Amino acid sequence: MRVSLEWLREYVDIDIAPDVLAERLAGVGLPAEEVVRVGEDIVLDLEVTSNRPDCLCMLGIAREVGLLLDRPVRFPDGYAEHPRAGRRAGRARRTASARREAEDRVRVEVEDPAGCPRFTAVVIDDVRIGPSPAWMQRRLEAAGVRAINTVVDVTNYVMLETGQPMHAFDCDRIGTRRLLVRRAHPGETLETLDGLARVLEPEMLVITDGTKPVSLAGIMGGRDTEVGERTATVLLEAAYWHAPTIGRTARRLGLRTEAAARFERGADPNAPPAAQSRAARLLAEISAGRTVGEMIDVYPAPVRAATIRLRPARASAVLGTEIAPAEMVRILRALGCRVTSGRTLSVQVPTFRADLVAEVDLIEELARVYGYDRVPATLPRGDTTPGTMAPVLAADRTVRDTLVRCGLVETLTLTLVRSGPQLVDGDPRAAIANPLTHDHDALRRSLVPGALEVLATNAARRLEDAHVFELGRIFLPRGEGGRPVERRSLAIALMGRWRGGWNVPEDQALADLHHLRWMLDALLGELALPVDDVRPLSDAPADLAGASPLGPARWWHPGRSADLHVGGRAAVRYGELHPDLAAASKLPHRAYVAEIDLEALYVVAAGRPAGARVSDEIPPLPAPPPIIAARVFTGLPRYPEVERDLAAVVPDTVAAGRVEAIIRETAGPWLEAAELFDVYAGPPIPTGHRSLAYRLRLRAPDRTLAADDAEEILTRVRIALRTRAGAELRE
Amino acid sequence: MKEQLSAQDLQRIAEIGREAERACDEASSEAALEEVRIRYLGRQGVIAQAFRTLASAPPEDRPRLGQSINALKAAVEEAVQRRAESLAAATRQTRLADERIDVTLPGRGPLSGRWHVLSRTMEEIAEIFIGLGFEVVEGPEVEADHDNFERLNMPPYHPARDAQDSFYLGGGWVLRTHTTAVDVHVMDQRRPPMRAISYGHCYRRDPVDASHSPMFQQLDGFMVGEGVRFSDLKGVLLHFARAFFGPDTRTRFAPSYFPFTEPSAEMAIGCVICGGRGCAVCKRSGWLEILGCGMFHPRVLEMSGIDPERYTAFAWGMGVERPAMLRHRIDDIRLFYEGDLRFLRQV
Ligand SMILES: [Zn+2]
Repeated sequence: MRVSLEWLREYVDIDIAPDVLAERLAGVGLPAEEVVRVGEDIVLDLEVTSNRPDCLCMLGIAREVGLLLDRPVRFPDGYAEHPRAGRRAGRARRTASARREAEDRVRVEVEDPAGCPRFTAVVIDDVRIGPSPAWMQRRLEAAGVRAINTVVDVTNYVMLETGQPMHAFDCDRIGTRRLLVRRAHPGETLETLDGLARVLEPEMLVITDGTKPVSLAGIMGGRDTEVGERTATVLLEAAYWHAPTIGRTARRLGLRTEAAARFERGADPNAPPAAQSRAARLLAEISAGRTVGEMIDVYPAPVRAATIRLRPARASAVLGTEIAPAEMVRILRALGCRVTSGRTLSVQVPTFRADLVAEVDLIEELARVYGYDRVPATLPRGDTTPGTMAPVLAADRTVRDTLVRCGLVETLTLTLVRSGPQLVDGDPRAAIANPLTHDHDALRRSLVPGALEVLATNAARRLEDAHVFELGRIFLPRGEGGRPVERRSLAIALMGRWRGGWNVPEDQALADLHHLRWMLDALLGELALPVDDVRPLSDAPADLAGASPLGPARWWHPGRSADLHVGGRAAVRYGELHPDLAAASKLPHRAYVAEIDLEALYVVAAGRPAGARVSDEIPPLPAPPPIIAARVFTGLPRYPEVERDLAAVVPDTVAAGRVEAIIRETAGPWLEAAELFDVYAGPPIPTGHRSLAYRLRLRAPDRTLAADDAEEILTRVRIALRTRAGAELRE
Repeated sequence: MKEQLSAQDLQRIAEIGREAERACDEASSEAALEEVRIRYLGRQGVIAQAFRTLASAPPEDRPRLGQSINALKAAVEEAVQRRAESLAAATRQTRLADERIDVTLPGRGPLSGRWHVLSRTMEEIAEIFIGLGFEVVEGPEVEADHDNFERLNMPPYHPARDAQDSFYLGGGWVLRTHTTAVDVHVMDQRRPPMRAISYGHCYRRDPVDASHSPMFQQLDGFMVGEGVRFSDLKGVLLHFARAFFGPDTRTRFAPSYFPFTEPSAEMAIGCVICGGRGCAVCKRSGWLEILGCGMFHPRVLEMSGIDPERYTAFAWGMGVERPAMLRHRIDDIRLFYEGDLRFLRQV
């Protein structure tokens, strides 16, 4: 709401500086977005919250300023301050003949009084269309409204002054001499003033000439009855409409006008007569028209001002500060309320304050005017409650900490993605019904595409070393209209050097598959989750379409990727990014990517039975048991270990994991660790083979192992490796 | 063979001692010193031979002669030891000198990782409220329209919904526009007293620019209890502002409007950029709006089956980007979600 100070001073005396005024208005909830000088004038652009339509006019702002400065408000000529309903009948009798004079010119009927509780009309003759006077044009412009002609300018001026939107019809163009207010018929159309043909829906309110719509009620007039150069007689409409209907219609049609903004927030049912008399006065003043007879006022069920009970003690208790009841009465009266004192106050609120309906609304008004800054800052009394963090969030923290220690930088990417084909294409995504752009018309169902985009973005900016992760939710679609399943997920993406500095050989600096695996082991170790199995993707059957929270295998290099099975399910998929994807993303190095079904890991870590179905829903709010179990100390060893090295030459087709598994299975309980320390291919190892050297650490819990004990174990292992893996043992 | 211990013999022993000491001192390496040691102290060494001549000495001279040779042996051993130590010290010295490296060379090692500044900010704020007895919970990002709006007193087409233009998924599902929706879930499942906060992704249908992102982070909290006052809201949020922005932070509460709170307020802090003197960031006002807050509307409590006559509640909600932007002097919200490592490593 743009408020010209020059204009505002017509209604209230202001003797404080504009900046101070702006400050004071902010204190009662009317902050100025800016204060600008316009010629001689100063304009405050006030932010008016949607509950205060009464402040969308000069008189409303004047009322607030008067309240702040303790000054009376001067109402303009022809305007009576919110005349009370009920006087109408008497006046109607007294002026019956005058009204008939107007009614001879046009008949008004309201078919839907729920949609239109009040409709007033005034007929203006001897209309002179031309430019309005300079002072009026200046004020309209200060308010941000374009001047058009005498009649239209007066309706806009009155709206800006009183808050009551008005509409002017060219009376002669209403051929039927009749206005009928009703809901639109399905399929009915109306060409509005902006030149667009609007297709109307049955809920929408229209003003018709008895057969066809001539105006979209409370929002915009029709083209056919528009006031123009040749207009001689005008019908001025000022009505009070059902706010939600206007709001819905304006949104359905995408037609947001000044009038609609006021009606949908709730106008004053008592304002139309005041606005009509003010408009008539202004038209006469600028010699632009003459009122014919009396105002037509269709108001079958006058709106009664609400009366609210207010307990001063309650107000003080809720606010946490004592405000004297006498002060409360003063404030409420200054707001335009009628107050009956007593132990509880009986407060009749003015009809222009449709937002005041309950005691708590009055408490807010008291606090607002008394001043929020005068309320002290206290700390809550009563029982304290323990501050806690939901276990799942504590687990997230552990995951982030672990990955950060591994050298990864956390990223956040938009969960809004493209539904259409994209570089890294996955399964169908949950679609957004009303996207803003095509790039953001669906919800991600994997974190991997986002992580790759981060690599590509950085590569394009010549940052070739990127080691990142993202922890967030993915959304698995569940059919038309179904709620997508939200699932905690984690992605890691590595590219380029993980070690910085001079003279570090490339092969020792570049991230590789094993570097990624080391991170995954660190993560699983922190969550105390053992890996059941490592299954190369090359061995895996084709993807189960749509069923897995892990991305499709085709994203990975078929010979350099695997699933880690944890707690009986594939919970981690990792490996080298498929070179085709890396090339398409213009990545300067090979990239390594892992996708982790974090929710599955948490379920296993929480000790639920392996293989249990992971819930489709976000866990219910009452906190589940701690997700990461405390680690248990197993004691320091009491007897010395025996170390033995063992090198097995195996065909390339035998996986290291297989060799290690055989060692573990056959070595028995005294095997404490089997650590791979050398992988070698080349002479004298035959081609198609490689040598895997392990250091076995053996220890008994209750005695020092003898050399014979160790030899026995080694022999067992060697035999198993020979028979089960076709290994040659090197000494 | 001499019949008697002569002065000459004793003098000879003293001479051997002096020679040995000189030889030690002249040994220029550990190997040379070892030669000296063997010459004098070895099994065939000078001193061993001297002991062997003892047998041929007259019995009455033997004790005195023996004593002298023993003294000689001890003196030579000491000389060898002393020289060994000084040679070792010199060797160490040389080695240390040889091992000198250019300590001004830059460091070398793995690149370090980092939390995202928004994750870190949310955790930090959460810690402040945990200290005030709040419980940190989470809720879904896809909400029923009913829970996101109606339960917060915003029926369809409510004008306040304009400020929260939202993304719909069909079937009445909406991407939550605020984490206030989580408050509703907590109130449905708990009985007062309760204090909780939640944070995470929220969505609004705003075109992207330097201060708007269709996805952003919000942090919400509320407290329900008997005798919870508007002044408590001020006290708790003042504590937060000072804990997060510094102990001298000033706050200002001004009336505002949210359909789910009454009274509603907006909290501003004294501009952290200009110290309140006025700058471009605070639009010359000296104040920065940080969050919206208020007392929960009685209807909101009623809808969760909480008696608003007996219990009162306050609530607040804040974007997380803004405090992070102010603290780290970040001028474009899009940087948070672009993944540029130069940005992520800096803040
Ligand atoms: Zn500033």
